[in-house]
Amino acid sequence: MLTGYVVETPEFRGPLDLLLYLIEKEELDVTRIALAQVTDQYLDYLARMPRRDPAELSAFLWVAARLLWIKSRALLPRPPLAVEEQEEEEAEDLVRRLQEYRRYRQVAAFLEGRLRAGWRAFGRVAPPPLPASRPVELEGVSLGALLAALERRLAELTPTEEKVRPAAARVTLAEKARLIHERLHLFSEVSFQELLAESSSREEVVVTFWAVLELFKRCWILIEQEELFGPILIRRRDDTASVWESRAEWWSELEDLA
Amino acid sequence: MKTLLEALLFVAAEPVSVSELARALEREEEEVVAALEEWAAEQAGRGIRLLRLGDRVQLASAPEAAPYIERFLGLQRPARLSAAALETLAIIAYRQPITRSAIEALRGVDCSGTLHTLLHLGLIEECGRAPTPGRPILYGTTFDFLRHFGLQSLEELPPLEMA
Repeated sequence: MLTGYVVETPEFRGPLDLLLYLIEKEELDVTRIALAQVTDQYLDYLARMPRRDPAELSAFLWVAARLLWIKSRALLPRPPLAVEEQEEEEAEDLVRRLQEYRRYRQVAAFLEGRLRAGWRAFGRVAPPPLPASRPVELEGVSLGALLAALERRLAELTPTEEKVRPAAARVTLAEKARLIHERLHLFSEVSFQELLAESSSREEVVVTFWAVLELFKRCWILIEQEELFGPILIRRRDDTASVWESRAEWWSELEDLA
Repeated sequence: MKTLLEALLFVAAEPVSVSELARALEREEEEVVAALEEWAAEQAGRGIRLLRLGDRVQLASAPEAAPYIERFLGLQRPARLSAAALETLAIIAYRQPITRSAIEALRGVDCSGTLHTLLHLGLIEECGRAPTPGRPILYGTTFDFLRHFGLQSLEELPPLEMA
């Protein structure tokens, strides 16, 4: 025999994969008889199999034991009554597992086809990862030039001394009340927390709270809190629209309060 | 309602559940589901598709557009998956939620390495624990899985042929 000559055997993903390969090579159906027929080939492959880790090897051996048992049953004449159902079950078990495994292998082939066709879909907001950035080409760049570039960049990032202080926007009671009104026009309820979250200053929080109290006092809104410290919900009354319309003078009252 | 639904889906950063949509629109969940189905049907043959996984939905580009999107965004094709990974994915896709030992029983071989790879790629995720001794982790497929294979929902997978 020539030294260094290696018989090419395809890699198998597990004992079932190998078994299925052998059966399909022989163009057999997955049956107990087919298993008996390919037992020798299976053992032959096992003997030539490249060294694998023990866990994987044991999986192959477990199937080998099953195969030998099935083959022995197929070859030996059966005692007419001695075949117990339990044993039958076990032989059928491998056949069933193989059939099921084959189905998933078909799906795997389907998925592989989708991949090969490159039919991916992309979400809008979570963009696919950007391609890896190219290594920076630094050849021929002097230290001075690097420092200058760094300074330029830092200058861009550092805020200028002058701070712009916008005058705090004043929010009036009537404005807040109107906002709540508009919100309740669209939605049946808004939460108090939601309103507070939109307030940008302490003053605005106070005005928001005040507006809610004023509206409640005038029975334009309903307030609900199901449990202590639970969310406070502001609801519109069923007749709110008419009430709000008919109380035009209240708006001017609110304006005056502010 | 369909118009509003479309707008919400457009701005949603993550897959959103039907109940979240229903709450935002102040509608019943059944109405939202019906509107979603109607909207998705209208999108057939267009550039945007609705992906569905469980009770969550998300917009995604049509799979046919993938090569152009890749060129447009300068993306590389994803790395090929090994046969073992594809097999494991196939089993999880049909049998989810499923434990590692159940996958291994089906494949007849240890799957821990493959599962680790798939988790790392984001194609599967842990989705709870089985109420059996040891409370083993259950695995399921993700929206990334659907996108990776250009599927709109798990229903687009071929039926498991009964051998």
